[in-house]
Amino acid sequence: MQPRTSSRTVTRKPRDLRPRGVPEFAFTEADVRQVSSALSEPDWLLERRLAAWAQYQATPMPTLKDEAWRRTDLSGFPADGAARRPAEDLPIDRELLQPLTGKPGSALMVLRPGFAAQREGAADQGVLLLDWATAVHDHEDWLREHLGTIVPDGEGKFASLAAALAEDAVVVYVPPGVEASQPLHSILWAPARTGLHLSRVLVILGRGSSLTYVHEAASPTEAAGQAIHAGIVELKLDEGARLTFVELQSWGEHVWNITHERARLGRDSALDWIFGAVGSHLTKNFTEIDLAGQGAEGRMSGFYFADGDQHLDHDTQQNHLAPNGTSDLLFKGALLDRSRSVWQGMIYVAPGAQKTDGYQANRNLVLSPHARADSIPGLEILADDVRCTHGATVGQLEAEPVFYLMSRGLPRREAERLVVDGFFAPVLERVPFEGVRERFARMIDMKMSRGQ
Amino acid sequence: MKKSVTPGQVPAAGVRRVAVGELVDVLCDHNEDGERVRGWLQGVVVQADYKLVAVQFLEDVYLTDGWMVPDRILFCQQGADNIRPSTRRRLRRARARRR
Repeated sequence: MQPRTSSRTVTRKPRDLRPRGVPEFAFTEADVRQVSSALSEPDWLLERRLAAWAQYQATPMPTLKDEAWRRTDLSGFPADGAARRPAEDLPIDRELLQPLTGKPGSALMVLRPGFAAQREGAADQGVLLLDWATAVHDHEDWLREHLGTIVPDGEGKFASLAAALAEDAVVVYVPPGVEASQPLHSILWAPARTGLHLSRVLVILGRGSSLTYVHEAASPTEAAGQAIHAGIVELKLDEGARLTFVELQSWGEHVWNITHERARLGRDSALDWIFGAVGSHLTKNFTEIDLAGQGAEGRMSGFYFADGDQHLDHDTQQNHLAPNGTSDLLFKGALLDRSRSVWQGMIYVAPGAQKTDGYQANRNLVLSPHARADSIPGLEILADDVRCTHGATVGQLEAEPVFYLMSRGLPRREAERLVVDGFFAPVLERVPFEGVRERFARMIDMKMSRGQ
Repeated sequence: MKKSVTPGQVPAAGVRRVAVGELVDVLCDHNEDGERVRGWLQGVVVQADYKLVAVQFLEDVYLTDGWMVPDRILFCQQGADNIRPSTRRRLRRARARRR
């Protein structure tokens, strides 16, 4: 008998890594002039905007070939046709107005693109919480001295765009020696089905001062919408200053959100930076801490929870530029459905930054077989007397603790939710405010109930 | 036969939390007049934190899939719909039971 032979043709489709064209925005230099003119800005600020616009034009749109964007694909980015337009006149989500730091009556600012900033409550003596227009008109010299010193206008394509066209900003200043007992709270509320919103946050703490500041960015989800937010966050702590900065992001799930954020820490200063991210269709967040002064301490705690087809990409950098600095990063995230997270972290220790103590960890809980978490820690050490450690894990929900809780009468849904709560507990314990912890817990509940 | 009463396990925010030693009623599977029912049963809180409550019962209690819980302790979430402060006084055990 003849052996049977079979021929089979296997066709392999090569993975297409060619950069797909990401459309450019259709703005022109005239738009930049119009923004500056509408805000009655001084000449130097117009010049800065124009310079940023030139940098924007000179920088190509990022593609998968760019190292920082290798895992975040901007194809489908709705830049063409995106216009700057006022936010829709929807009332702000009342939950956002709840005091998160347990101190009612503290200063609150609500920014709504296209509308005048709303201000409630009072800040401590000497502490400034300003919207853009007030900062430009009442504190022009101060603004000129500090704006763009932490995140240069040419930091990236979207930083240049925000520097050229942003109309909404929160500016905070704490004078030297002032320890603000009242926390500050600002909200960027930008409901919009389509369009582009650009924002800036600038926080300067004088020598020996201290502050707690909560900044939130939010909008409702518009099912058929495609909107964009690009932003810059700059934090500067002078010698001995202490800042607790809580940053919450709950953009609607139609929003493409790209931000460039950096803190510069002076000698013996301390920053406790807390992130919470549950919103947006796609987030690309560049976050850096520069420990520029001897003995500076930077702590970053991140919480993210994605579902649906959300894509959350956090790119963190801890730059030890002076001796005796301490940095401690913990990012924890959970993923449902077809969502994806990317965390790429780097600890850089400059030559001479001896006695550095750097730590970074990223833990991911993948709750769906279709979700994916990429975790890429990195160290670059150019000093010889340092301690740097890092760790990254991607895991699934453990069956054993779920079974244990179910054996005590809890339904599977609640048991799983409790285990997820427990997963986030180490990062929630780093949050010093009950209101923020409760907000995070509600975010977890909301995501878990949608996923079941 | 198992009877069904209003089920509900959704935790509510900002509700009163119970503490160790409190008498509570828990909606659970237990025996009543020789019949397995799902209803409110009185127990005492033996452990509580900000999230979970452990309740000890005098009667046999069961998981929804029918398994008996050997030490008669069930967990509930603080503020869940299946736990409430007991409105009755402490029940005396009717008679010694053999398990």
